[in-house]
This record gives sequence, structure tokens and C-alpha cells, in this order.
Amino acid sequence: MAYYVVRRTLEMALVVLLVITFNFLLIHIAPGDPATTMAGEMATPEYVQAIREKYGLNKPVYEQLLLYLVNVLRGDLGVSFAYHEPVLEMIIEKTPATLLLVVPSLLISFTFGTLLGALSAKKYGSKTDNALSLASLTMYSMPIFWFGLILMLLFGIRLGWFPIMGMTSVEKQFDTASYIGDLIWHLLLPTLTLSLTYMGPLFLRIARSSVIEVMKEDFITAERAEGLTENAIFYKHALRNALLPSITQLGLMLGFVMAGAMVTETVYGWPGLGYFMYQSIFTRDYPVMMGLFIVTSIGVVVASLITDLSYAFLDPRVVYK
Amino acid sequence: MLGLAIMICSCAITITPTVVSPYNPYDMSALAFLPPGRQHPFGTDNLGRDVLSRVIWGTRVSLAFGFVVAGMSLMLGVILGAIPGYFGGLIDDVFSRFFEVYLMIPSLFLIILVTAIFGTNIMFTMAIVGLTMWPSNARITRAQVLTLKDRAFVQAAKCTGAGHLRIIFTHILPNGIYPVIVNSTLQMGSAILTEASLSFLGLGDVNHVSWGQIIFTAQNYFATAWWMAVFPGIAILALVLAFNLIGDGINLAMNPRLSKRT
Repeated sequence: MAYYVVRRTLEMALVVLLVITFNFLLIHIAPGDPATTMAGEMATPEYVQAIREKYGLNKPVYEQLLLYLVNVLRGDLGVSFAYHEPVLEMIIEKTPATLLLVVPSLLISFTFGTLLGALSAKKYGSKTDNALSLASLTMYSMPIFWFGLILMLLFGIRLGWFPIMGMTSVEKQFDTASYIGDLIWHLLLPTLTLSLTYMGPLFLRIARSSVIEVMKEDFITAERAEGLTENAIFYKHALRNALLPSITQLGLMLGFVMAGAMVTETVYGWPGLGYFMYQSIFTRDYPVMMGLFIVTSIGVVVASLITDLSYAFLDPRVVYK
Repeated sequence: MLGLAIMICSCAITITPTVVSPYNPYDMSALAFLPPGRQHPFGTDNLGRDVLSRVIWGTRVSLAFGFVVAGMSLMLGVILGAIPGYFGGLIDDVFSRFFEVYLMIPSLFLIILVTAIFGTNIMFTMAIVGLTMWPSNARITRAQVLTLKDRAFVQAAKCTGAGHLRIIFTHILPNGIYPVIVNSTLQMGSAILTEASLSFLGLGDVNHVSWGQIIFTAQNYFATAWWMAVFPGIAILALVLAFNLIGDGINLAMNPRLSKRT
């Protein structure tokens, strides 16, 4: 077991190294001089020269790669063109906002998706099942940003129930309690958008098919023979076994979740990492974009490592070589 | 079945845009911001262009994108999945790790990064998106090849002296291709969504009318001209849903256990 943990961690480290190397390659393949790519078009010649020295762009390629790796691992992700601040600092600043969006969305979509999926499986073949499946497939096919816009239009503009932009209201003065209330008020629509479009349907489908599979197993029949009620069988045994694939999927999905969060943040102007990425596209702020890519990759990798390892705890049948 | 219907319609629209579309999509022929009406069923956009026509022309881009990307992903994925599956050993280990790793990275960020650096040419974007999507097909192919390669008919082929390539392409792949086909149809939908998202973020190819792009420009006028954003979105939804339904349909046909008659 310990061997497995070590092996996975090493693999993750490898992934991170690959990501950073890829970034390095990108800088060098990009049209134009790598130094200008890192420094920006508006940079003064002295700045460009400084960049050249720092990354050793006059040296052979493998030395450059090593230098770059060392720089990144020390936390130096470059300086943003647009804001003239170190990239890593800005990323750390904006991470809480994204987490605030992503974590509740994940929880909501996991809970509701799995529950509805199980319900759908229970009433297999009925109208409820078909309706839910169709609805879930429709939501899955929906472009996230469009759904966000529609929700915004309906609830924000026409009905005026929710604010449409940003994380907090600017005009009012707050004490802590109402700050949280305002935050939640702003949070609702984006969370709804994110959880309903991609993750909800996915969890629903997985839960549904795994419950269906589990219900066919022999131990279920055995329990029926023992005289347990359908409900008891369902909730205590079938459901629990069906949860496991959902958790694996959770780990795999995190990359997509980031993408979805990015689009959602853009639509709602939610000041998180995704929105930051969006802004940096327009200014062609390469250090920011690359820094974000590295950081999000690391985040995804770490999170999926955690999910993987927790799977070992949750399923006692699993044995790792 | 419904999916098939939608797709056939959209194919028809794509092939004959000049016939079906009432206006030239670049023609700024009318007053801007007209609400949907008889002359312009979807309204007009900020430059007075008919939205319906733009949506119709956009079908071309989306379908092309979907097919090219999914096709590329299919070919790359099948070949690069069959090889490790068949030969096993070190190649298998290396490739498998590679797939796992690849699937974890947030691909949208990667695509955005590359597109921002290298430009928004649509051919290039198609290539990049295709390159991010093939590992999933490869994984499936590998699993299929692993299952099939020890079957009797493959052993028989080996006995008659068939070379490796022949065995893979004429025996194993035709039998194992179904899950990959299902995955590919889903990937078509996914590719279309990705393209729409890219255009929405401002990274679409400006030389072509694309649904995501329409929505991108629509954002600024959203409060007053809702039709600019709503209709292209419905189009995206319909097309992607069509592909997903088709994929599900194929899946049901291949896996009768999942169907309603148990």
C-alpha cells in the first residue's frame, strides 16, 4: 500500500514536470523571440535583456530548460505584462474565489446527480427514468456559457432576483454576516450553471448505470431471499456500492471542471482564476496564461491523487500491488 | 432516433447553405437590433445582419469542426491504442501512463494557451483540439485489443502466418471498434462545444461565422437583444444533443443489456 502511494506521487511529480517542460517548449516554439514572448511587446530593451539573463536564453537549450524548471519550482512564474505583478501572487489571490465556486458546485452536482441517478435506476424503464435521462442528456449537451447567459437573462434581468455580475455588491457597506449573505446571493447563479451543465448529468449517468449493475448482483437476490425490504436493500447496500465509480470519476473530471469553471466565471464576471485566464487572453499576457496552466495542472493532479488514495480507504476490496 | 433526424437536417442545411439561408450572412442589409419577426425570424444583430442566416452558415463550421476533430482523434487514438495493446510489455506501460497523465490535464487551458500564442486559424485549432482528444479513444482501443488478442480467431490467424499488422487491422480492430465509435460520436459533440467555448472566449477564427462567435458578440448587447444569443445557443444544443443521442443509440444497439427489455 505504501508502495502504491509512493508510486502515484512520483507519477504526479512526473506529470508536473511534463507540464512545465511543455510550457518551456511553447515559449520557444512561439513565433518570435522567446525573450519577447516572456517580456511582452511593450517591454523596454533593458527588461528584455534582464529576462534574457534570468532565463539564460543565450545558453544551450538543455541548460535553459534546467534553469526554467528551477525557476518555476522555486515559485517564480514570471511577471504579468498587464498588471506588473508576480504571477504566482496574483494566482494565489484569486484562487479562493474559484474554490468558492467550484467546491459547492461539485458537492451539489455529486449529491443531486447521484441521488437522482439512483432514483432513475430504481424506477428503471419507467417514465421518470426516461424523462430524467433525456433531461440529463440535454443538459450535458448544453454549452455552459449559453446556459449561464440564459439563466442570467431569466433570473437576473427579467425577474431581477439575482445579481448578474461579480462576486459582491460594490455599493453597500457590510458587516461580516451580511457580507456572507451577499456573497451567497451572488454565488447562486454561477453555481447553478456550473453544477447543472456538466457534472450533474455525468454523475447522474454514472450513478444510474452502476446502480443498475449492482442490482443485478447475486448478493441483492440473496438479501431479497432473506426478507429485507426493497428500500432497505436499495439504500443500504446498492447505493453504497454504486458510489464508488462516482468517486473515481470525480478524480478524473477535475480537469474538465476547471474548464467549466473558467467559462462560468467569464459569463458572470466572477473574479476567479478562470476569469483571470480570460482577461489574460485579450492582453496576450503569456506569463499569466502559462502560470495558470501550470498551477491548474498541479491542482488537478494533486486533487486526483487524493481521490485515488481515498478510494483505497473507501473500498476495502481493493488491493494495490 | 431523434438524434438521427436532427443530424440529417443539419447536414442538409450545411450542404446547401446558399439555398436555404435567406440572406447573405455578411450582408448588413437591415436595421440593427430588430426583434424576431416575419422578415427576420431570428432577428438581426448589432450590424444589421440576419441572425438566422448566420446561424445557418455557422452550421458548416460546427459540423466540419466536429467531424474533422473526431475523425483525427479516432485515427490517432485507434492506432496509438492498438499498438500498446497488442505488443504489450514496456510499450504498453509507457503508453498507459501517458494516457492517464494526458487525460488529467485541463485541456481547455492548454488549447487556449496554444491558440493564443499561435493564432486563431481554424485549421490549427482543429488540429490542437484533435490532439487533446485522442488519448481517450486510445485507451478504449487498447482495452479492446487486450481483450480480443487472446481469442481463438486471433490465434488461428497467427497460425496461418498472418503478420502483426494484418492481424490488427483485419481481425482485431473490426471487432473491437464499436466502443470507439460510440466514444467518437460523443467526442464530436464535445468538439463542437469546445469550439463554441473557444469562440465565446474570443479565440475563434474570425474569417468564419461560428455559433460561439455570434454569442461572443451578443454578450455586449445582451440586455436589449436577447435573440442574438439565444438562437445560436439553441443550435449548438440541438446539434450536440443530436450527436449524443446518436452515440447513446449506437451504445444501446451494441449493448442490449442496457436496453429496456431485460
